[in-house]
Amino acid sequence: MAGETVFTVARLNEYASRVLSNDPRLRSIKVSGEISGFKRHSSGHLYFTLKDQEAVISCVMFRSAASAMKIDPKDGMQVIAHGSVSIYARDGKYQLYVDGMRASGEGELYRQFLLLKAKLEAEGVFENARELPALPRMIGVATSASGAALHDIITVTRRRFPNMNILLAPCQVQGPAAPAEIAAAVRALQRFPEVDVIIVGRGGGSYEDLSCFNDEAVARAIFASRVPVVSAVGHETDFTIADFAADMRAPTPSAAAELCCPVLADLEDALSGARETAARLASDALREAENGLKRLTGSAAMANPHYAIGLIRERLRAYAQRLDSGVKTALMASEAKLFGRLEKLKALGPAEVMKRGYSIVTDEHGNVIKDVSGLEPDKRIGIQMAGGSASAVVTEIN
Amino acid sequence: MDNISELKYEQAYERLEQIVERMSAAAVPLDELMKLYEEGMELAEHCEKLLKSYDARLEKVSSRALLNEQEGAEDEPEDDEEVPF
Repeated sequence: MAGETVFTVARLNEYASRVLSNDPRLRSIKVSGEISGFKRHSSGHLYFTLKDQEAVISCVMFRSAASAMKIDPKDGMQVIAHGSVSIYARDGKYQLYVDGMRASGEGELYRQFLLLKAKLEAEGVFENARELPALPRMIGVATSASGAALHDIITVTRRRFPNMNILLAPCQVQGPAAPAEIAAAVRALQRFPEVDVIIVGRGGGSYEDLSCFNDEAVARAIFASRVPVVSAVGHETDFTIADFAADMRAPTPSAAAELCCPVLADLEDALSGARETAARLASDALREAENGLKRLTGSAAMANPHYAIGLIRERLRAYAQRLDSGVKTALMASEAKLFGRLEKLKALGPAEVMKRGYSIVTDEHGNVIKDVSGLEPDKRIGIQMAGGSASAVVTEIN
Repeated sequence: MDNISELKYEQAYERLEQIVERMSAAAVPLDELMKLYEEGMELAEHCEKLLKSYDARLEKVSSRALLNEQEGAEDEPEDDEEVPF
């Protein structure tokens, strides 16, 4: 066929090599597998293959990289190799150019972590997300008695709420005994009714140090907790199983203490704010009632002014006794005003009232007849009005 | 009405907030308003009492209690489980 491109073998290998080298993923890749066919060449370069259950890949590690490596590779070792993928053009051999390698114990741990995480997640062990109490009566802490975590928690708590009560359940937070101790500590804290929230954790550490928090028993103890649990496994980036099981995760023990312990001054401010608002609303309402009374006094002269005002004054006084001192002051002022108005009414006297067109009816003896029941037909009565008095006879009662 | 003295802080404070909100409503009769105010002050006093009830205790669960938990002991713990630091 015309125009057909024919490659030489060398050119093909070179071309394929370039294609692989241009792939960014293949330029820097981590591969986990088991070492086999390990050979250390006299030049210092290492030749081996990495394999898993399904496949193998040839690997080369040059002397400079090999001498910088911390592990001593052997056949059968599980490793994570880092390097780039290319083709050895002469042999047409696709291989991994390893520039670093570590034992994949961590990788195995991580795999177990993922398995446990998936299992507990499916069981609902990570579903706790309870709200933390606004003010715990006591903060339970499950951590080492000698660690920095406890010190940090106490320091932060004291700063925010100086008299906060703390109950420590000491436990190891690294080593093989740690998981069982941590779980027991979390369970023990819940036996104390005053403990309203629990912090479980430790200060920072390596991935291995934190692995006791990647434990099923710890997760289950946290999940079963009667009160909310805040995890504080000092690691900004890696989440542990304990973090997932907790109601809330804090990046550090100090941060956990901040989540669990309110600032006393803030609570006091909020409280006095509510008090003041309530007092203001109460005194506003009283002032309004007083204004109502003012309107009433306009017409009170018609009946018995002492009586009408006295009644309301009595009621306001009863309220006043129930109010605290802040409002009392306002109330005293309004009462003083009321009293002044009452005195004024007194000063007016019946004569002043009569000037407005009212009269007072008396019997023969001069006793005031307050209502119609005091009248009898043909009875003689006295009438006092502005400017004088008169006597009259009742002819009809309606 | 629950007994105010038995309320937890968050319960008491939440009710206090509700009371202030009710008191802010326009059409509350004076009598009811005064009752609300009175209850509000009781709640505030209770909250204040709770804030003052703390005594900076630092205590430790006894190692025996922790061991019991590890062994899965079901029996109720004794009263003297807490020990000062």
